[in-house]
Amino acid sequence: MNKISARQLCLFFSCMAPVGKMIRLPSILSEQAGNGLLLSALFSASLQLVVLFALLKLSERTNLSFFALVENTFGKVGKGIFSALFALYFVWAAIYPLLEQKSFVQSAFYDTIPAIIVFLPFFLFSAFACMKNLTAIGRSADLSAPVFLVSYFALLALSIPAGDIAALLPFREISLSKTALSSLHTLNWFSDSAYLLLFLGHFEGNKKTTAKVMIGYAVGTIFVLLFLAVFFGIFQSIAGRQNFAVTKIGKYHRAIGTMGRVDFLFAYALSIVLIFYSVIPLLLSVESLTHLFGEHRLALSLAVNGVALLMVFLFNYRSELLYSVVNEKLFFLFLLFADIIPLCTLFFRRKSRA
Amino acid sequence: MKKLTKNLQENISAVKEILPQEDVLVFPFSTAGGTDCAVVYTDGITDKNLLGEQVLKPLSAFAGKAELTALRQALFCPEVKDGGDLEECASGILDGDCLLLFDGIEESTLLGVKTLPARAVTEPPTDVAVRGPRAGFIEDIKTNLSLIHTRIKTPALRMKNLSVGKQSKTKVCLIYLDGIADEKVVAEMSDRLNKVEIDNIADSSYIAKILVNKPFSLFKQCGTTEKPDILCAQIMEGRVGVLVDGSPIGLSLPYVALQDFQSSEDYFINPYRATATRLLRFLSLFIAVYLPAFYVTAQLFKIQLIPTSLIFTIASGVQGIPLSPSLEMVLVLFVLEVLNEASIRMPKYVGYALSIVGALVLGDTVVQAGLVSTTAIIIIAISGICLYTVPNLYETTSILRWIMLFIAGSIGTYGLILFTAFLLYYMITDDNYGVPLLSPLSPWNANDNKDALIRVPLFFLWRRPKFFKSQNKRRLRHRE
Amino acid sequence: MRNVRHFWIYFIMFAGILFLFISNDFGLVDVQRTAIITGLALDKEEGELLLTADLAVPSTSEKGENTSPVQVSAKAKTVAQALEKIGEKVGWAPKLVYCRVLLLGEELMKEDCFHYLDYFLRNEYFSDNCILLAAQGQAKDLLSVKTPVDNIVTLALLKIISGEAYSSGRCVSVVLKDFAIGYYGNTKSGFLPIVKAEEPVKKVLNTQSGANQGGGGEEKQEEQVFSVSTTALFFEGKKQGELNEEETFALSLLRTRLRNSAYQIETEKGDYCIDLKQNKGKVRFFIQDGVPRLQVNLTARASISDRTQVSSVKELTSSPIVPSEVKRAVEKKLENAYESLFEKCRKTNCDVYGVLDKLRRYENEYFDAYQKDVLRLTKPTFTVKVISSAR
Repeated sequence: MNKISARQLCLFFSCMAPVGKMIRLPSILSEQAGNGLLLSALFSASLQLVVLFALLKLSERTNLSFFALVENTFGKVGKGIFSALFALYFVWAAIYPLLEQKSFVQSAFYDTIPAIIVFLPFFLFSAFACMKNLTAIGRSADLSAPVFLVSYFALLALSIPAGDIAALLPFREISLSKTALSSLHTLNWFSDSAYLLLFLGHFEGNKKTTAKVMIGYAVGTIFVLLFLAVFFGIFQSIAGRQNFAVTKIGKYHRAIGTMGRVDFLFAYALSIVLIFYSVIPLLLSVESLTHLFGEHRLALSLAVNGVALLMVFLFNYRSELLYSVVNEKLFFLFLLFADIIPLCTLFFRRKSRA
Repeated sequence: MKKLTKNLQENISAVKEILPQEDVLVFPFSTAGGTDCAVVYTDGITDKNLLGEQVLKPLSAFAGKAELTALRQALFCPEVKDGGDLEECASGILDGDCLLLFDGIEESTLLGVKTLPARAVTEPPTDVAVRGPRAGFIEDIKTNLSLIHTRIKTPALRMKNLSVGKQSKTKVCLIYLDGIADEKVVAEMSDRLNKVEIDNIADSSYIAKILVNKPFSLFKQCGTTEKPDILCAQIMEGRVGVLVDGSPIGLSLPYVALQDFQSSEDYFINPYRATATRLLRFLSLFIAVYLPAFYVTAQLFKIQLIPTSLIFTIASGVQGIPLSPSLEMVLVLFVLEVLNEASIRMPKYVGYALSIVGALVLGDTVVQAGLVSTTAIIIIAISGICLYTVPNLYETTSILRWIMLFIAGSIGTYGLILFTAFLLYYMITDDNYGVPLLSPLSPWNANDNKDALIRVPLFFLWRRPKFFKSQNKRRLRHRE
Repeated sequence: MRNVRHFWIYFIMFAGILFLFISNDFGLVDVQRTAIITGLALDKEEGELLLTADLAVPSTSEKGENTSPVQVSAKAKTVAQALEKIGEKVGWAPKLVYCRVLLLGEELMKEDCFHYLDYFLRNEYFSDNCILLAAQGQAKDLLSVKTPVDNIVTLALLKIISGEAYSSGRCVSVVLKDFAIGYYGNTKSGFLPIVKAEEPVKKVLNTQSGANQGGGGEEKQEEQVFSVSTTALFFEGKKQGELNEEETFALSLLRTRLRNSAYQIETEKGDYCIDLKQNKGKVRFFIQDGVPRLQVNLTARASISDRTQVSSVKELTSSPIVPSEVKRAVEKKLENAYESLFEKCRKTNCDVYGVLDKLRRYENEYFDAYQKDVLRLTKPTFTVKVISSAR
C-alpha cells in the first residue's frame, strides 16, 4: 500500500507546501522585489499551477508512475539515469531549505546562539521518516492541515491589526524586471510540482482529483500571498531584514504585552508542519533510489541523510554563498526538474515497448 | 500414550498415571443394573452436590442396558460431551469437569459440573462512570460471556473459543458480529493465537502482545476495557472482542488511539458536555506530558516564552536552589512516581501516614528547605493530576513525560518539537490489522470524526466507522 | 528480530540523550544566572555612548516583592561593547529578551540616534516591539527615579504608556519597529513620546518622638511620577522639535481609539471637561489642479464629564448631550491644534501625517515632481466634527 488519496494531495498543497514559503521567503522577496513581492510569488505559483494541471491531466489518462513512464520511453538504463538524477536533485533542492530551517531553529527556539549540534537530531528523524513510503506523506498532510489552519489564522489574527496593507502601493512602482528576476531566484520555494511528478501512479487520477488538487494549490497560494501582504504591510521599509517571518509578525499585538509571546506557540506548531514538509524531498530522493538499487530503504535513507548532513555542515557558515549558487546561478535546475521535465512527461510512452 | 479400553480398572489406572495428583479423586460406583462405573474429578473445582444430584443419583437408580447412549440419557446433567482420548480427558478433569467411565464401554464422557471460585460482578475500579452501567468483567470467562449475552441478543453474535498456553490451556474467546466484523481480521487473530507456543497465559495482556503487530511499541496497540457495555459497543462498531479466562480485562481489535479518550459516559450525557469533556481530556493529556518539559526548556533555552509578569516570580522562586531546572524537575517527578507506586503497593493501614509524609514533608518542607521551588511542585502536581484524566494511556504517557523532560533538558525547545514530530510520524505509520492508529484524524475521515474528539448527537452517528471496513455500514435509521 | 534491533537503536539514542542531559552545558544560561534587563537608557557623554541598564534582580523579600531593581552603566563606542561591559560588572549574562523600554537621552537625540538603535534591529534576540521614549535631560537619571507606580522604573513607564495615558490620548506610543520604518522609509520621520519626571511627592516614614536617627528625626523618601504628555519630532534620526499637550492629544485622536479622555474646553459659560470617544480620523491626500491637498477629517462622540460650574439635576442627567457652543469650541480648538501640528511638521520636516508616503502611494505620477518639498506646497484642511453621545 503506497497510495495517497486526492484529499491528502489537496491538503498537502494547501496546508503543507505554504509553510516552507513563510520562513525566509518573505524577507528575500521584500528585499529583491519590494512591493512587487506579491507579483513575484504569483508568477512562480502560476507556473506551478500550469505544470500541476498538466501532470494531473496525465494522471487521468494513465496510472503508471513517473519511473514506469520513463522506462517505457527510455528503457531500464534511462530509468536508472533518471532515478539517480532525481535523487541528486531532491537532495540538492533540500539543502538550502534545511539551512534556512537550521537558522530558523537557532533564532526561534533558543535565546542564545547554540551550536549546530542542536539541529542534528533532525537528521535522525529524517532518517526514520525516509524509511517510510508515500502513504506517510499523505497521512502527515492529514495531520498537518488542522495544525496549520489553526496556527496560520491565529498568527494572522495577531498580526493584521499591526499591518498597513496600503504599503503595497503603488503598483506603478513595481519593476517588472526586478519582479521577474526575483521570481526566478526563488524557484527553490516554488518547485512542488516535482513532488507531484513522483506521486504519479500512487493516486487515483480523475477529474475530481484534478479539481481538488488545483483548488488545493490555489488555496495554498492565497495563504502565501495573504501572508506576504500582511508581512509587508507590517514591516514595509525594513521588511528585507525580517528573517523568519512566522516568529516576527505576531508580536505587535497588544495582547502580547500581557500574555507573553504566545505567538511562539503557533510558530512552533507550524514548525512541526515544516519538519514534515522538509523531510519530503529527502524521502523522495530515497524513493528514487529504490528504483535504482531496490528496496533497501534503511541503507538508502542513511546514505541520503548522511549526504544532506554533510552538506549542512559544509555550508553552515556559507549560507549566503549557497544561496547565491543554488538560487541565483543554478536556478535553471529547478526549472528543469520541477517544470520542464514534468511537462515533457506528457509525451512519454504510456505503453511498454515490450 | 495409552488408549482407553473397555476395562474400567485399566482406564482408571491410565488416567491416574497421567494425573497422579492427590486431589484428583476417583469414586467408583455401580448402577442398579450392575454396571460398574467410576467418576474421576479434581477436588475443589468440581461441584460435588451437582455431581451427586445430576450424575451419581440417577445412575445409581438406572437399571437399564449398559449402553452408552442409554446411560447418558439417564443423567440429569445438561452439559455432556465425549471425553475423547486420554489427554483430552485429563485436560477436562483439570478444567473442573468430571470424567465418567463405564466398565465394558470404551468411550468416556465428560460432564460439566465445575464450580470455580469467582468474585461477584462489581464496578471496575479502573473505569468509573457517574452515569451508566456499573457492571464489570471478572476473572471467570463464563460469567463474562454471560454479560455479553445479556447485551447482544442477535443470532449474528459469534463466539470462537480457543485454548492458548501449553501448560495453562487458558480459554480465550473471540467475540464478533457476523456480517459486521471483518472476517479477515478474525481469521488473522485466530491464526496467530493458534500458532503461538507459550507455556502460560497469565493475563489478557499476554494475548494482546501475541495479537498485535508491534509488541515492542511504546504505544498501546490493543484496546482494553473492564466494562461489558464498552466491549459490546466496540463489537457493534465492527471490532473483534477478546475475553481471556482468568483476566477481568477484555481486549478489542483493531485499536485506534482516540478510543481511549472516549468514556462510556460520553454516550449517556448530552453531546455538548461530552464534546467538552473529550477535548478537556485531550488538553489535559497534552498538559501532563508537555508542561514539565516546557517549564524546563523555557528556563534553560527560551526564557522569552515566560510572560514578563511571571518571570520575576519564577526567577525569585528558584533563587538559591542548588539544582539546575532540569535536575530539579527530575527530582520532583521522581518523588511523584515513587509516591504513586507506593500508594498502590502499600497496605491500607499505613496509607494515611504516608499521605501525610507525601503532602506535608515532601511538598511543603522540601520547598522551605530550598531544595526545590514552589513552581516546580505546582507543575508536577498539575501534570500528575492531568495524567489521570485518561487512565488507559497512563503507561505510555508517563514514559513520554520522562522522555520529554530529558529531551527538554538536553536538546531544548527544538528537541521537543522534533520529538513531537517523530511521535506523530511514528503513529501515522502504525497500522494494526489494516487500521491506522490515528484514525480518523489521519487518514482523515469526516464521518468517523463525528465520534472522535467531538461527539455529535446520537442520531448523526448512523454510519459505522469506515476504517473497520464493515460490510454492514448502517447502524441507525431514524425518522426517514 | 527486526523489532529487537529497532529497540536497541532507540535505546542507544535514549542513552545518548541522557548523557547529553547530565553532562551538557552548551553554554546554557538558566534563569538563575540571568540578569534580566527590563529597560535601557542611551545617553551621550563626552562623545561616547553611556548605556544604563535597568536590571530586575530576583530576590525574596519580606515585603513580598520578588525583584529589586539595579541600574548599571557602562561607557563605550557601541551598544554591543557597552552591554558586554555591563555583563562583566554584574557577573551574569545580560538578556535583552525582556527589554521593553528604550530611553533616549537629550544629547543623543541631537544626532542621528540610529547610530545606536540599529544594534537592536540587527540583534535577532532583541524584540523590536519595545517602547521607545525620548527623555527630558539624561535618560539615565530617569531610570534611577523612585516611583510609586512600580518598584522597577521601566515597568512603571510601560504601565503609563500602555495604560490610562494611552487610552485617554494623553500620549502616543511608538515601538522601535514603527520608528525604524519611518526612518528607513521615504519620510525619514518619526515621533516619540517625551517622558519627564515630575514634582517629587514627599513621603514621611518612621517618625519617632524625640529620637535621633542618623542625623534626622524623620526619614523622607522622595518619589516622583512620570509625565508623557508631549511628543518629540524626528527627522533623519535627529530630534527637530516638540509637540505640546494639545497637539499630542490631537495626534492621538488620529491614531488610536480613545476610551476615557478628559478634554478641557473653555467657553463663555464656563469650563467643561469633555469625554471624547469613538473617534475616527481620516487623512486624505490628493493632487487637485496641480496643488497637493491634505484633508484631515475627525469625527468623535462627546459627552460632558465635568464642569467648573455647578450643574442642575437636569444638566447632570443630560451629560451625553453636549451644548452646541461647547461642541463648536471643541471643534475649533482641535482644528487649531491640527493646524499648528502641521506647521511644526513643515518647520521640522517631520512628516507626521505621512504626506510623502501618501503622495507616493496614491499620486505616484506626481511623486518625482513634489517629493522634495511636498510639505511646503501642501494645502491642508482640517475638519473636526463632534457629535453628542446622545440626542
